[in-house]
Amino acid sequence: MSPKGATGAKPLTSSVFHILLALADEERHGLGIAEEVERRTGGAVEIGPGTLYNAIRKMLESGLIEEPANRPDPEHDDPRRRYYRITRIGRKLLEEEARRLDRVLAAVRDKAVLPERPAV
Amino acid sequence: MTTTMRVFRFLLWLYPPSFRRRFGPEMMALLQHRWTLQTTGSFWWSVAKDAARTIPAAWMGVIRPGIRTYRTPFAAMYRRGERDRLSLGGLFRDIRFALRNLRRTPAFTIVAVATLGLGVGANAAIFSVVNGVMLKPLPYPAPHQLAMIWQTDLERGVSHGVMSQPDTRDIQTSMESLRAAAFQRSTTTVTGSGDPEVVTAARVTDGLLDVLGVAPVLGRDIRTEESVSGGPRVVLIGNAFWQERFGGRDEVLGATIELAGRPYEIVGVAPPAFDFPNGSQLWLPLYVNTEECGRGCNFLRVIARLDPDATPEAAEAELSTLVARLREAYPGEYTGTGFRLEPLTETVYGDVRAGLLMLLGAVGIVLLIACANVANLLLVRASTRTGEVAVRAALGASRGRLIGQLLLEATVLAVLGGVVGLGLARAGLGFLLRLAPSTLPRADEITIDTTVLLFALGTVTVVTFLFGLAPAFRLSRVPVAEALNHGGRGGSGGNSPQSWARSALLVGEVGMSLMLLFGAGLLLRTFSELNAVELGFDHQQVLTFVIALPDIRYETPTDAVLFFDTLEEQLRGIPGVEAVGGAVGSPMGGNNVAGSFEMLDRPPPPSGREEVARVRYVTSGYFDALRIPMLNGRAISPADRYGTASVALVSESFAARYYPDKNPVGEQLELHVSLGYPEHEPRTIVGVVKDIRSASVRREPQPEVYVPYAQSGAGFLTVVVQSNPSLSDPLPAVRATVRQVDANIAMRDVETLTTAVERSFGPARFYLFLLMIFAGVAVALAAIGLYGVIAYLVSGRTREIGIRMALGANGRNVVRMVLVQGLRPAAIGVALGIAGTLVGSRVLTSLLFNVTPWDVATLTAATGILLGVVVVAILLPASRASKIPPVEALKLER
Repeated sequence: MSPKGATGAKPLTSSVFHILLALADEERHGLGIAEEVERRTGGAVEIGPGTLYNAIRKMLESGLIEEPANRPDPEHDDPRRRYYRITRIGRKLLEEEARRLDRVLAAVRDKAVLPERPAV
Repeated sequence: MTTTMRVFRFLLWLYPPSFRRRFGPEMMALLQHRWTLQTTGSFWWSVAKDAARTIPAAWMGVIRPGIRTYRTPFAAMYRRGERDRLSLGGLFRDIRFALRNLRRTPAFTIVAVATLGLGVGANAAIFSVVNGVMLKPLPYPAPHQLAMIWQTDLERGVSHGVMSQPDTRDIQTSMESLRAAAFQRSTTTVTGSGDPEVVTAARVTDGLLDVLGVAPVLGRDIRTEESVSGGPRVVLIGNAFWQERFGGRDEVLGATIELAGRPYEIVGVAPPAFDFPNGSQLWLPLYVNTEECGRGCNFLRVIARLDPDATPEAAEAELSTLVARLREAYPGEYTGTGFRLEPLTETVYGDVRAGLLMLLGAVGIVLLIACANVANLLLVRASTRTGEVAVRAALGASRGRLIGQLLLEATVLAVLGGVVGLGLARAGLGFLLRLAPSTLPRADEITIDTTVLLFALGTVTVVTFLFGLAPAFRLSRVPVAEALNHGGRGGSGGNSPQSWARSALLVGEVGMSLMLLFGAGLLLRTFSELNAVELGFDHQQVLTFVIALPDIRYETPTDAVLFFDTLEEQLRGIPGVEAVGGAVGSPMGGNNVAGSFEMLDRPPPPSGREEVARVRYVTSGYFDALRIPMLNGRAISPADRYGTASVALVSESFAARYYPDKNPVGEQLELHVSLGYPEHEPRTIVGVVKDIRSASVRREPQPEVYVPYAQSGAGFLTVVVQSNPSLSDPLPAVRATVRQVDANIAMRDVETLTTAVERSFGPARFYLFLLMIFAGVAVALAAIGLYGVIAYLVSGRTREIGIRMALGANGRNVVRMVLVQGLRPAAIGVALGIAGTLVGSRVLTSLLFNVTPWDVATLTAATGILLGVVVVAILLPASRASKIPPVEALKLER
């Protein structure tokens, strides 16, 4: 019934996944996360402000992300902004999800669903 | 940009405060960022979607804090498909489900929403009238302390008598429990700049603003010492007048305006929206000479404010001691007189309260019938849905959950009906106000405001429970196994509790329809009686207007007589004008003069007990212009002038009352009232004219005395112009003629006599019209309800009917069977309705004319009409049933 049997776990919600991914390499503030997601997906994914901050709220509450105590260089800082960074638990969840996606992708390649990309 | 920002801010405001505090600035920054970058038109769409999805979620986070902690398996929490089970989202899902259900049966939904909309709309519209007229507080501080003081004379049936200036002064100076001021409603002409303009102006004593609890925005109120004969010419102006004519400038104090040719100094400006009494724009001192017009010269209305700690009873008691003192001080003057306190609200809307409450009751009945109809529809629908409900119950839905879902459907219907209803009310209100009688007080206060919205909300809530609860409970109790066995078709047998409920609803609908129909019938009778009344004069094609001559240029009565002579002559020259006349006090108009008189053929009555009659000062053309026939003697001739023999005519009822046994012609009267020239000698009666209903269509003709205008010379006259139908609108020509005679004179109260007559029909027409609409709607709804139920019952009995016909019953037997089944509840309804009318029709008494509230003919007619409609509503499905071929009916496997 659920996709669990095939992939080992249910997929993460898209906003949680994208936020974790955006924070994987560096600390960002909310607007920074939104921009990073858009940039990386070429504008295909646009997280709405309500969705973004609701997800951030829940993720903060359950410790997937946290607010660092030390703020960046005050010269480049806007006091309105709050920065977030991924926690150990968050990173673990992201890895799990990445592994799941990898398995999915492997299955897709196995079945040759997509045409082979021509070599550059 | 600012509007956009405002929308953003509003969106943020919808989130929980804690969420907003934490993320608000950042969300704002993100929204602004997206707004500046936006390239597609779907920006707002995505913002709205985002908000709709996340606002409930954010609130859930606040409502159930800390439920999810570190111990929660994160993987499960953030996986797709795991949603809150008990959430606002769930409610939305239920609403979506209800909407889907309603969409599946569009005919049902449209009929139900329209029916409820009609009911709620009519109620909201009528309630907004009641609210504006009666419920909104009067626009003065502590309005419950305000009251009118009237003079009463029980022997003469006077309950709203006006007062003299000395009476007023006594009240002002001696009463401890209240402060009082007096006023006379009047008009004046603003002259001196452009066309003369008639404005409403009140003549007032000192203290009017103080009593009403308002303060002038500039300057001061009228003072005691100004309100005397020969006092300084000062005026308090209204706020709108100030804005219009003086641009709201402060320097207006001390400036002068010209009223009827004389300069008046402006001493104050009233606060905005203050226009007591009845739309006044100017307030002038009384300037009454108490030598000429002292005790007994009654023309003032007195308004008072009770002290906060004084009770009305205490004030009344103090007033009666005052009257007792006056009676002692002025023997004979105050015999039978009393002073009475009446709450101001009573004065303002006392006359219309009964009518408005009657209308509110009528729309309430319409709403009940609408509810009964929708409840019926839901019951019918419920029986077709037993299958669905049984399946859901079998799958584990609890009873509470089922009732909740069904009630939610009812709520959705009621809310939709409420929205439609408010739309209807908005549209209908304008129409209602155009129809409303001009005497409806506070008409400008009638709007759809918060109170009306709350009322509509309350109505919708009540309605939901009225029509939603019964079907919901009924359905939720369906025995699962049985319902499933029947394949989802509900039972429609004759004795199930459901059919009982339906019959009860039908009984109620028919009974209530009868009550409304009967009420409408009574008013219809009233209206036709009013139309049939012999008025005694011809009001077709008659234009009337009032001219008041400024006494600065028309100083003597002779000047006035000359002016009106010339004017009448010129008006007669207009092509198409047939006759012209004039009177002080035309039929159905104001400016009536009443005075006491003595008949010289008998001993004089004791002082204070003289006979009183209405006195009309008429020009020689008056009787022709209104086609009032002479019965005896001669008419007034142009030769009856001041200086020639003083004469009078009397009306038929005057002759009958005072000269029952002899011909009044030749008898002499002494009139105790004069307007221009003094009454220097007794008047000889020279003729008798036919009675007319001069005060109101509803009032029997009163004894009247006619005096030649040229022997009076009053400074004002109502001119009546009778034209032939070829002259469709005589007004422009008449106006030009008046200007030609004197360019500085304004015509006022211009109207056709027909308008004045219809006004005196009173509000009956308004109520009649509305009650007829309501009765029509009620009967139509009841008929539809009856038709629907019978049709449903017949369709459920098709098989049975088939068997009966196969066994030899013919079509007529079948029709009779169905008819009896439908007529039984209708007959019970009629019986209950008759009982209801006997109790309820009394509220109409004050509106009726020549009809008793228990008029048997009307009741019979109303019952007949209703039964006719009922029979048609039953016969349609019955005859269809009788035409079903038995074979078909038997084949129909259920």
